[in-house]
Amino acid sequence: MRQYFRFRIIFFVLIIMFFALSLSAQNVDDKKFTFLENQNFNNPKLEYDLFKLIQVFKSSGLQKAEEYAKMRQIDFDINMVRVIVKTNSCVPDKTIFSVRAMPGVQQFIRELGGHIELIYNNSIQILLPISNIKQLLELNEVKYIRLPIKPHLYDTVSEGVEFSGADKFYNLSAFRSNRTVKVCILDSGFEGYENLLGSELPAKVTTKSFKQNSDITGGGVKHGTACAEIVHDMAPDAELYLVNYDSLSELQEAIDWLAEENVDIISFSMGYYNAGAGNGTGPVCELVEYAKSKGIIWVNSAGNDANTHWEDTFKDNNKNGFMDFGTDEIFEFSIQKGYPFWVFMNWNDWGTWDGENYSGSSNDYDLYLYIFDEANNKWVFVDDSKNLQTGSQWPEESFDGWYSPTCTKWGLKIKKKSNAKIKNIELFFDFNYTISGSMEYGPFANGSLTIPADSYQAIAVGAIPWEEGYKDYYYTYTSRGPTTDDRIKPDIAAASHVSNGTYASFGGTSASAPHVAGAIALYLNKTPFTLDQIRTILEKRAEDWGTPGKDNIFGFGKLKLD
Amino acid sequence: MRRLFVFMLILFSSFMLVSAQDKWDSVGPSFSSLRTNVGLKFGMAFSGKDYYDKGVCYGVSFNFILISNLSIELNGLRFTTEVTKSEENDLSKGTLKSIPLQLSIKYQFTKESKFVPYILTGADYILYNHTVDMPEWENMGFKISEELDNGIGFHVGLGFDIFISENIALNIDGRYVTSKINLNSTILDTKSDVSVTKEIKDLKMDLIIATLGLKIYF
Repeated sequence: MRQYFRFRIIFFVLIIMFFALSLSAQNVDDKKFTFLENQNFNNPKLEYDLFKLIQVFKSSGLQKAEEYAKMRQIDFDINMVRVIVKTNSCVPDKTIFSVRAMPGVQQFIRELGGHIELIYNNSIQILLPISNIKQLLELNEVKYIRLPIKPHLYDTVSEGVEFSGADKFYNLSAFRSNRTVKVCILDSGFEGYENLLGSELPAKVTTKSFKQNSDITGGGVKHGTACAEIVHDMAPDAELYLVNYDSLSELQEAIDWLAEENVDIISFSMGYYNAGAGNGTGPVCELVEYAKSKGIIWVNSAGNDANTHWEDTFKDNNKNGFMDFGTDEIFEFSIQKGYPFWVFMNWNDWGTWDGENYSGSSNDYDLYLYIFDEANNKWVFVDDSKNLQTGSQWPEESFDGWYSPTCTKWGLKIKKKSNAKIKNIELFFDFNYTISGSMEYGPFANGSLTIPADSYQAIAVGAIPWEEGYKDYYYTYTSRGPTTDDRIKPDIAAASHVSNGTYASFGGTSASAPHVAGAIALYLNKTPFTLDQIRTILEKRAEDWGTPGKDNIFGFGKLKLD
Repeated sequence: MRRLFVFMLILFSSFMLVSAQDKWDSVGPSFSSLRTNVGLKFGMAFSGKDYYDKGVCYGVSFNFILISNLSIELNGLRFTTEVTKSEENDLSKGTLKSIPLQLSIKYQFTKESKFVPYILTGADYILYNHTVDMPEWENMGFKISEELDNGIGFHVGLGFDIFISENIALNIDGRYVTSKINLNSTILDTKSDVSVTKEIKDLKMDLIIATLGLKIYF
């Protein structure tokens, strides 16, 4: 009797222990597919990977087989697996008709529930129920069955990832933050992005074109795709938005939409000329502020114009109205034949910015373009830009997209209207920084920021080399501050001329800015710091390059996360 | 769901104990359990979260007879566990030390028996200390610290004493402790002195504590 009660007590204790243990033994990792070991494989007509899939299907059923196929990237869906059937050729020269000459094979595949997708030489690409592969193997005409061979894209990772320590930061376990960070690459075009999905880019990206023709490629522009690759390299878990636009009103629409989508960061590797006074005001800078007000941080390339920027005070000793350049009145510059260029001129007379417009200029200057006629050894007038400045207009003139297939020597003349006051003239020559071009005077690297890198809210990024032994070096083209209101810019510097799937080597400050955008995404993903805090952290953590402290080339220094 | 299990288990066990006690009393020798006793205990605590290791616990208990089968028990335990993974809304990886101080009202099913089953319930005041151990963050120049408020909790439990001599009894005890606490988690970037503190309110800290002990009856 006593034994009976003891048994019940032991039973009771066991129940307690059972519950306690069952609570502690949650989520024991189920080792998948371990039964694949030690399989006896001896069919010379079957590929081993396909054999393993069949074994999983046989022993664990369809669901496990689908899991396995997904893991191994095998095309397997609803019981059908895509395979290549190699047949014994009945035609010695292996022409395309060799298999077709074997209607028996095709017929048998159909009888097994297979679907013939393609026939090439001795190979038939089919979708076949996995359970029927064995029967197909038994056919004498079948020489071998295998999974399709697939091409593998080369993964290209920017050297800026390791250079900035982002790789180490990425490996940190998240602290009090596991949110998905959304980064928008705002650009002119994303040609070829589809081909990079799942390799150089995330498997899925969100695209939206605010252009009137809704062309996300921007007419075949790859620039945005290359930028997106870098963001993905830096912050592989970030969700990417690829957005393009043309006009500023489209840009505002885009920002509104991005805010609705809860995008955190805009990476903007473009710049404007003559779109503001260079002091953080103007319509573009206003949109950066607008994005900030919507909770989006704006990362901007500083620009590639340090070698193509010039400025000086207007001088006219002979009082004929034309600006003196040395001994003459023409500012020479050269561009490689056939390459287009743009020239932008503005002067320091924007007036005050009221949030919508500048009060404007009443000091009228005009710009004239000449080409040098080698045969006759003389300058020939080509074009002029004569906006009126009567008190409310912006102080700007420009030439867009000129080029010559034969000539390299060009000239500019700047004319001041008689009643205009002496002003400081600024010129930007926009031509691809990778081609050779030169200016007779200058360049003046200081103040060469493009807009909106001058914005208070934008993080402006300069370009530096990532190669070892180049500390304190910079790419000479990287645009520099100060802003016209004497603030130091850029804010930080990041790697450029990095490996890239789109361009092979991607340079310019365009490549640097996405590194910083990606770094911010990493911080947001891994920590609970706010965007403002992250900006401060990036600035303080930057490795000081060049002149001690923040300077107009490197900003606070090299982007450094570790 | 787990609470329901525990509740059902206690209910079921109570019936078993009552039934066992009747049978035992009819055959066993007589020991008075209506005496003040003091105990030492040693056991394991389980949090129910898969990223909290099982922790060893030990402690002492004092039992004062109130009336008849009812007594008051003071119980103090010390429990250390390793948090093996950092979850967004839970403790970060590190070592959690806690001291639950428990005041329970206990009902004993027997008075004069060698086998003394009981059930109990009561309130807890739990002292917590959490040391974050995330060296990878420290190596990157960040300092992480976490402060836990001391918490009020409640517990239910059951167990039994088996007298092995007139004044010494073996004790087996199981308790379910439930509490909610507030957590302040701070990350400091030592290079910029920028820090952010995240407060997590009402963090559930439930425990199942199973102990084996020795009691001295006076």
